[in-house]
Amino acid sequence: MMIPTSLQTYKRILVILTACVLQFASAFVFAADNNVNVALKAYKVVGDKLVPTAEALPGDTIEYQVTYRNGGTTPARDVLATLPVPDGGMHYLADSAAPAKVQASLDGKQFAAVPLTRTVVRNGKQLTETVPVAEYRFLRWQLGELAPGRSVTVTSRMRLDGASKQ
Amino acid sequence: MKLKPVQRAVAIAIGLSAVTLQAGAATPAGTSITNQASATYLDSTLTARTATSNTVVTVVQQVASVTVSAGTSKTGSASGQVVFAHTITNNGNGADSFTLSTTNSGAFMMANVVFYADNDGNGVADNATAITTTGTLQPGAKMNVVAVATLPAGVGNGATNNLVVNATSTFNTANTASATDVTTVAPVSALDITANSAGAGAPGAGPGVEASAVATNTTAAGTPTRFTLVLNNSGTGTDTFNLSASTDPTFGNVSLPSGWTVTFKDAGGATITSASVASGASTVVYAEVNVPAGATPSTVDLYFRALSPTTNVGDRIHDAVIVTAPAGAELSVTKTQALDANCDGVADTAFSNAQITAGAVPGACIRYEITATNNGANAVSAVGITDTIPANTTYHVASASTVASATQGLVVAPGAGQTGVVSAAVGILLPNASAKMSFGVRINP
Repeated sequence: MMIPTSLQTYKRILVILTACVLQFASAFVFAADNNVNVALKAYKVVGDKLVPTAEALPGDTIEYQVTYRNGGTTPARDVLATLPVPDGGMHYLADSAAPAKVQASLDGKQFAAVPLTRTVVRNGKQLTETVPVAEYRFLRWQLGELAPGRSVTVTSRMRLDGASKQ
Repeated sequence: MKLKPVQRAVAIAIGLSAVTLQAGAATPAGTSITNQASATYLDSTLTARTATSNTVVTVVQQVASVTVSAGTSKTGSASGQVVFAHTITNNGNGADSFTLSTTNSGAFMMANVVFYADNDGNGVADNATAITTTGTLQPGAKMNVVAVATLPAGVGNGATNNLVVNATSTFNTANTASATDVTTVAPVSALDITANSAGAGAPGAGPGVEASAVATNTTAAGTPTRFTLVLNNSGTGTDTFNLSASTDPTFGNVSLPSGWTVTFKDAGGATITSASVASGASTVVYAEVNVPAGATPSTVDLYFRALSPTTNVGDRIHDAVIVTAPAGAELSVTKTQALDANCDGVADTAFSNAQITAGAVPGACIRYEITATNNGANAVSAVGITDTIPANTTYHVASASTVASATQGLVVAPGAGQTGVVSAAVGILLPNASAKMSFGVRINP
């Protein structure tokens, strides 16, 4: 009767231990190898000013600023910085990305330089059409090498779908 | 690579917080929009690494937006009501209620405007409970309401009122939508008088007085005749019309020829002076015209009018009476004369019954015309015209073509230069037909 209980207790302890080890291992890995820190901030665009915000009205424009900093001692190479266009009515504002040389994706897997195009068949003819920027779901910048102690900031503006204002 | 489960968890968390939206709809108020940037790179050992940022949350705030469906134009009558249906739509991104109000402009102000719910959207109030607000409407939700406006008493026909219906957001009272309803005052009744029958094809159909008679009765002097008038009310309400008759189509002067009378009677034969006509109905009125026995045979244009003293709505109809001579007095005879100074057998002037005051000197000639006319309703027969050569004159013949003659029948005359009787055997004269006998005389030298 005691054996199953002991066995369960042992199993539970094992799970907790494993979790602790994993979490410690994760923290250790972060500290040791993952030198690049990513900081994301959101601002509301009011006229020509940027106001830090945690709120938005339909029709508002939000500027996202992402700072990539190499806090390590070795360079980070082939840095690809990805900024999603969040769900919930946000749309990328065309040509607002900085640096301007940016890639975009509809699914987060396949990226291509903007403007995105796609091939469609219309009236039996193959046509290449421009994908509306409102369909962009991800932006990605190729930052190349980030030297130790250096940081790079990328920005982009998104617009919250407007209510039909009077 | 050991971080992958953590990242997957983050990715799942982001996925769960994502809000599914219908295309075009504003993001609901309170929605949290989360964003998290990431980077991939190769570290110094060329191991692929991923770094993720903090999560940024943006909470969507409420905006008010409302629409009121377009206004319409209607006609109403003094003290009557008009009903305007509107749909109020919450186009904001949060639940909101909308205060209903109205403002007036134009030639008159509505005496009263009350809103009612019209949830079934049939344009009729659902119940007798007045409302002043839509109550809470979820984003995208609509409410049908009706504005029941009461016109003031005594407003003139054709006057218009612009009623602006406002819906104001409770969340943000600066947000208001409006639509304008137009009311034009029109009388409750609309009258058209037709002869004998109702409908678009009936004689006299259409408003206003006709240029020519649409019904003509023939009657002998002293015998009454009856016209059938149909009063058609195409308006929305019952009205009572005063009846009158005149020879003046404008009714500026309501008068009849001397001795004439007109009596109006209803379908039951009772004498009336006014007639009530229900909305969309027709009422028959008889106009009995009494022509006096001594009336001159002629055609008399008669106009009948029905006019409401309360709404001023009315119409007129143009009829006519052909008065004929009574039996036994059908024939009328007129005699006219003209000077023929040089006795060539041709009248120097127009014939008239006036006295010749110059030129009738001894040796001059005079031409006569005697006309017999049948003014009766029937043909008369054995008509003869007879005249005597006046004293101090002799029958005169200038040429073969100017001997005594008649338009109908054989003529008998004295010998040239003689006296006696000139006669024409006219024979049968149809109604309205006439025959004329002509001859000349010479004043004795």
